[in-house]
This record gives sequence, structure tokens and C-alpha cells, in this order.
Amino acid sequence: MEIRFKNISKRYRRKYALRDFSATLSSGVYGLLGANGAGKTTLISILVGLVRPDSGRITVDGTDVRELGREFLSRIGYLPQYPEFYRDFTVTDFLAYMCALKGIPAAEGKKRASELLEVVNLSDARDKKVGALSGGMRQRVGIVQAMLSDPAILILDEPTAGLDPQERIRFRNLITRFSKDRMVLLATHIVSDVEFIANEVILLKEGRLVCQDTPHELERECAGLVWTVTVPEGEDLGQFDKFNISNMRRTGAGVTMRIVCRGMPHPSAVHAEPNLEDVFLSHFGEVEL
Amino acid sequence: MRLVGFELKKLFLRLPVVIALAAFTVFDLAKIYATVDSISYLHEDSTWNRVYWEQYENYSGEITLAKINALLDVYKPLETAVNDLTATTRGDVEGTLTGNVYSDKNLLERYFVDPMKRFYTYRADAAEVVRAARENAQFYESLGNTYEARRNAVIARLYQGRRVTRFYYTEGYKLYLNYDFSTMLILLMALYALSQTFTRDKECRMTELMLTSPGGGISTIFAKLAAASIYILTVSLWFSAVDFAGFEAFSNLTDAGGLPVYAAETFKEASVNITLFAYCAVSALSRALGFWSLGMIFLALGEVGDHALLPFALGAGVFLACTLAGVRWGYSSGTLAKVLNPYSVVVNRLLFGRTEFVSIFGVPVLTWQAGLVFTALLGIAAAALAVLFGGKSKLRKGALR
Repeated sequence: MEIRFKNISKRYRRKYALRDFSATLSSGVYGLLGANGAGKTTLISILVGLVRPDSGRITVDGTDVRELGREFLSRIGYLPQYPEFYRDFTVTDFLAYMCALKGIPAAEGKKRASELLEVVNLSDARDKKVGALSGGMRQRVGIVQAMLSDPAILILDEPTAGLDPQERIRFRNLITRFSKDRMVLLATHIVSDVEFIANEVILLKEGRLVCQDTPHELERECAGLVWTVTVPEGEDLGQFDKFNISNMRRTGAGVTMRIVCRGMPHPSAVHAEPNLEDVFLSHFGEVEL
Repeated sequence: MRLVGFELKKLFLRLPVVIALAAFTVFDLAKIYATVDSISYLHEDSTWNRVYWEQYENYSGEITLAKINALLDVYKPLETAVNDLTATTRGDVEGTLTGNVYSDKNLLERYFVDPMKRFYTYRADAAEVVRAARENAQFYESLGNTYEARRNAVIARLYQGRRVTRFYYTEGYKLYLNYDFSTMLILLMALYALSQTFTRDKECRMTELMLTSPGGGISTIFAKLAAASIYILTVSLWFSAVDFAGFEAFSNLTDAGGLPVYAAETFKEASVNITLFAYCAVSALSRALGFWSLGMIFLALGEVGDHALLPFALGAGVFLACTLAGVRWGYSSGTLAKVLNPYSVVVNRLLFGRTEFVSIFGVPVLTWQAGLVFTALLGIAAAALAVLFGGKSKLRKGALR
């Protein structure tokens, strides 16, 4: 399967949420990475049909999604941003309701929900009210509902927002488990969510596509821009304000900084191996490179 | 059907709604008890209550000359004594029913003589109406006034053969037919639940999931309409049943149930020829239709705003406006205002209790007939608007359908 975004633009009043966005996605995990307000949710909303683009089109294997209509919807599993679901429904009732919405026969849906709850380790919570679940548990219910129809495309919008580290790791692992033989589009502003699981990262900035590549390739492109600098305690740290500092740590030797910039930021600076966070900072940092 | 079941569960089969229904049922019964207790002189443990039901055995059933004479034999001396001021005011007079002459006279007058007289003379009054209506019909026919001629012909047909041949206790119906407290309870139940029908999905951010599901979208709106209709009809009929059961328990509705509806004091000009029992059912159905129509309006308003408060306030405003219009034009000759107001169908005693017409393209139509049809059409229009608003909402505009 191939999804192709062709010159998608969307404007809210005068501000562009998306501008001439084009990309091609096939199977695997895609991390849609960008700062808040970069246009990730707008892009996903256009993909799932919640928002009409001002221009451009999306095709699935060559056919426009608007032509596919319900057929396309039957192929996607979607977890929106900050869902609350119905607090007074039990998990089982909620999933049964979602099966009804997705047109899955009741018996089949029950079996499928049971299997998925087992996978996400929520079998014991099946009779709990949704309102009684923790944020992480609720997100796991969210991914279960998205997986009910065994979709070819799984679309997750900021699924780890507000989760504690343990739940975030658990959720990340679930995404990897569910990514087998399907396309996963994961929108997030948290780099670590996609760093280790995404086959490709799509970087969005102010509604525009910055780049799309594998994490390794993106890191490679960032080689030579990442520096480690250690300065003794007492030295003026203000001199580094003009750089994008991805990390700052006090050690016995002084203050060690990880800096993303084009030139050598300090005589003592040495090159460091870039990671995805550095890539993110090189595009979204306060200081233009 | 599955979606309708879930919509019912989601919106109405919830603890707050069930608690409200249970609490309001208790309030309703308490209010009925208080109404009967405060208005009727036959409230429990009173002397009148005991005496009335003792005497009732003698006079209830077929109205015969023997019964009338027997009643007047008791009543006339009392009336004379009271009128010429010779009656004693003592409360322990031997040979009286209640111990007091005035009390006996008032009891018999209020609960036996006046109603029996009304029943007995109704036949002649109705015959007079028929005669006058026929005369009018001929007169207007000769003038070429087709509308008035038809109207009078309908009146003549409606009143033809009307009579009340049996005497039973009808005070319970008098109270029941004027009882409106449960209308407010149904309104609150309707507003509380229906104003959340759409906003709850928005608050829970479920609209996105519905619209991105193959079975979601417009079918969820139809499911909501169906669930809301089931809910509002159930609640309305439930309170009608509670009202009936309450008045039956605290007063008495069974005995007079077989009498024609015009036997009730406020329904002597009734526009229907059915029994009081049948009218109770018709009234309950009419009220349910009126609330269904209002419910569809509340539902359409429910599309406004992201939180339930605004639709709740708008819905309450609509009902208040209907109520004020109903009070303003309820007893006036402006029949069109009654017909066009769903409140008239909810509180339907004026539609059914009076023989009034509205001209529909020159044809005289009884107000209850026009009112029911208009209210049904209004409900359908509101439901269509709810679907339309839903289809044109900001989110649904983009939906893949």
C-alpha cells in the first residue's frame, strides 16, 4: 500500500497550518515529528477526513481518499489526540460500541477485543469504567479500539502525551508489536517516541515538510553539527546563549554541554555522534543554523 | 439497531438519569398526594370522606328517577333550612350525616346534587347545541358561507346523541385533568439528557472517532434521534402512568373511567366523544408527541456549542416561550396560536376540552387535529434540522462519506 500526499495546503484565516506538503508513505512506522503547531494534527485530520484541505489531494494506491470514502475508513485505525472516551462505559462496553461504529459483528468484535486487551495487558480491566483508568491505561484502550478492525493503516496522534516514562515505553513497544505488516503514522513532538521505532521520520515545521528520511540518514546528515563542550565552573555560560544546546550537565570537571551548531562553538569543543534529538534541534532550535 | 442501543446506554441509561427518574417519580407522587389533600374535601381520614363513600353506594351507577328523588328528599330540607337561616350550627346534630346541617348540605350539593344535575341535564344541553348548530349550518349555507356551514355541521355531528346516563365520582378526573406538575419534571428530564446528546461526544472528543469509523457519521445522528425519541416517549409515558396511578391511589379514577369525557366538569365542551379512560390514554399519547417534538428541537439545539449548558439554556428558553404563549393564547379565541404551539399538545386539556376550529384552506379543522399534525410536522422538521446541522458541523464537513 502506498499513501501519497500531493501538495496539501490548509490555511486557517491567514495562517498556513500546512503548506504545499508532499510525501509518500508505504509500510512501516512513520514518525511525524514537529514542534507544537507544526501542522501534524492538521495533516492527520486531513488524512482521516476530518478536515478538507484547501488544495492538494491524498491518494491511496493511486485512488483519491475522497473517492474511497468509507472504504478508506475501513482500512484505518485512528487514535486522536487527548481522547477521553465515555467515562461511565466499561472498557468492554466501549470496545463493543466501537465495534458497532466500525461495522464489526458483535461476536467477532468481542473476540477481537478480548485478544487485543490481552496483548495490551488490560484483560483485568475489562470491566472497569473508562473513567477509572489511568492515562496510560486509557491510551492502551485507545490503541485497542484503533486495532479492532485489524487496519492496514494505524494513525496515532500524540499517543504518549501526558504519559509517565514507564507507560511511554510500554506504549512504544505496543506500537512496534502492532506495526507488523501495516503502515503506522505516529505524530508526536517527543523525539524519543520515534527515535528507536520509526522506519522513517517526517519532519514538519510551520506546515512545511522539512525532510523525510530514516533516522539513521537524518542523523548522518547532521554529522559535524553536534559538539560536546566542557567548560570549568565559573566560566561565563552566557557566551553559549547563541547556540542550540541540547543538553547541559554539571560534572566534576565543570559544565558539559551538547551543542548543535555549524561552526566550532568553543576552542575545547569536540565532535559528538548525532542523535535524533540533535536533528530535531537543528531544525526546531531557537537559533537558526 | 446496535448503535441505537449504545446511544440509549450512553445518554440515558446512566446513573444520574436513573436517579433523577426515581427521585422525580417520588416528587410527582408526593405532589399528587398534596394536590388531592389540599383541593379535595374528601381527603383521607375526613368525615366527608367516610360519609361520601357511604352515600356513594346509594347514588352511584345508572341515574334513575328513584335515585334523584331519594337524593332530593335528603337534600331539599337541608337546603331550605340553610337558606332560611333556621339551621343550627351545632356539630352534633342527631340524624345528620356529618353531625352538622351546613356540612351535610354542602357535601351533598358539591358531590352529589350538582354533578348529578350536570349529568342529567347534559343530554338536553347537548341537544340544544345540536339544534342551534343545525340552524346555523342552514343559515350560513343560505348565505353561501361554506366555512361556517361546515363548522356548524361538524358541531352538530359531534354533539349528536351526547348524554351521561350514569353517575360516578369524577372529582379525581377534575384534579387529574388539571394537573401539570409532571410536565415540568418531564421537561427537566428531557433537557438534562437531550442537551448532552451531541455535546457529550464533543466533550469526550468522541466525534473524531465516530466520523473516522465506517459506521459512524450520519448513521450515528439517526441513532441518536431514535434513542432520543425512545427516551422522551418513555419518560413522558412513564410520568403519565405515574400521574394516573397516583390519582387512582390518592383519589379514584376507576369508577368514572367508563363515563364519556364530557362528564368531567371542565370537559363539557369536549371535542372528542370518548370515555375518560380513553381520554387518559389519548392525553398521554398527545403529551408524548408534544414532548417528542420539543425533544427534537432540544436535540437540534444540542448541536450548538461544545458544552451542554448552552443547549440546556436554549431549550429551556424555547419551552418557556411556548409556555408563555400557551398561557397568553390558551383561553383566547386565537385558535391558530394554540395549534402552532407544541405546548398545547403537551398540556392538551384546552385542545380536547373545548370544541374549537381552525381554518385550514377554508376547511374547519378541530384544533386538536390540527395541533397534533402541526406538532408532529414540527418534530420531523426539528429532527431534519438536527441531521442537517450535524451534517454541516465543522468536523463533519470534511468527513469522508
